Amino acid sequence: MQTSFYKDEIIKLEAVITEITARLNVIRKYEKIYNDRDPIEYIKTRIKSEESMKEKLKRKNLEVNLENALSKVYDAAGIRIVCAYIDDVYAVVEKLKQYDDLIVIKEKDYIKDPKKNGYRSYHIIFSVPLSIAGIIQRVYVEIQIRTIAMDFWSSLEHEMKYKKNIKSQEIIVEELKRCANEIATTDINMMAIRNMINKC
Amino acid sequence: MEDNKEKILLADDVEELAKSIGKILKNHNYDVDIAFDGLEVMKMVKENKYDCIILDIMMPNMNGIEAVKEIRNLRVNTPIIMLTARDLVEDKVYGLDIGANDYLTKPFEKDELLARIRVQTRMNNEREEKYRIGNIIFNKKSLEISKDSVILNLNEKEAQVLDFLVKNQKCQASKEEISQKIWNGEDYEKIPLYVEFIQEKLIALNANIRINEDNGYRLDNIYNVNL
Repeated sequence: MQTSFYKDEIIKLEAVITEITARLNVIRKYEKIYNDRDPIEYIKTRIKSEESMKEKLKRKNLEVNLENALSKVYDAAGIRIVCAYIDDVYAVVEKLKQYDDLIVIKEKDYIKDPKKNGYRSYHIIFSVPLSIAGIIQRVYVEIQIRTIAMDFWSSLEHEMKYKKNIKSQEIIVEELKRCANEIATTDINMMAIRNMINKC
Repeated sequence: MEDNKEKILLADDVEELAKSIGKILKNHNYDVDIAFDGLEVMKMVKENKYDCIILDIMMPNMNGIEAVKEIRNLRVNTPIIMLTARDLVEDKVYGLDIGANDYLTKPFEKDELLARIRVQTRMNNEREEKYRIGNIIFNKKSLEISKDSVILNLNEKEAQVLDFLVKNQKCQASKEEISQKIWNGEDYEKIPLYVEFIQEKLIALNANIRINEDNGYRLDNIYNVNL
């Protein structure tokens, strides 16, 4: 555990992840019972490492301290939800937004508007109320929702980003972008096929 | 993102004139690069992909005629319209012979220039089998539909179905009719599947058109289609 930087505040970060994960599990169970399918394939969670938090604070020209890490940076606690189909992604977003006590801080649909490199995903930052030691406190969490195919693409893109001095970088970037388009096409085709099957 | 705008390279050594024509083109929703001599033209042609090139014949550092020759030597097939102040028939004939597509004699009316550009880009798109439908571009040759910088792929059969729909936008065609036209009547029961694939892609691209599926199929404005 990275107690050194986050100190006791780590409790809040763990708590917000537990809280959202619990709500997601309710959504999954409900959907399985009433709609006969789970919109979520799997969930990954993480607390931002001390190293990358410090780096991010510096990049944003903020003083490196715990207060800024929790109030000026929104992704100290992160959850990634991976779905099978694109419409599941939007369904999960809608289900999360139905919780009145979650406040949307920021939201970005990179599926509709992919990043230049081809990155696709739905990003949403919530402020989540937590009751800790009898006091209600709000904690930020960044949730990224995407399909299996988008997740697959991102992990390779991530690998490239963190490797310096890759030979023929330009060609690789170009090819990754082409793959992103192909993957997006496949995601759509899979959804269309599933719709056809369900209609039968 | 303005990637859907048509891109024009305009070359004229008279700066004021180039700028004022450039302004007119920009006002008509073209993306415009301006060059002031032939060497600049060549540099820009090598670095960018244009939908149309407008070249003044009289230019320093390689004139328009030489530029046309060079451009075609690079196997760049972009339509070229020559501008000439001189009413010399030989110039025009020679320019057209070595690869220019059209010419205009100065002074010209802006509406005529705009119309000639439209003719050239339209013919070029037809040659390349590129169609603008609503806010998206359908490229039949490369089997792609795109909006801005987002490109989605089509398989060959989807492209054939979409091509049919693009060319028959006025009528509602049944799956039998479509398959009759494109596949000699075979596989008509597969048409709804390909329509579904295309429809999902139009949705994903945020296109302002959809396939209207009431009693057959037809491309239609998004507002007229109940999904």
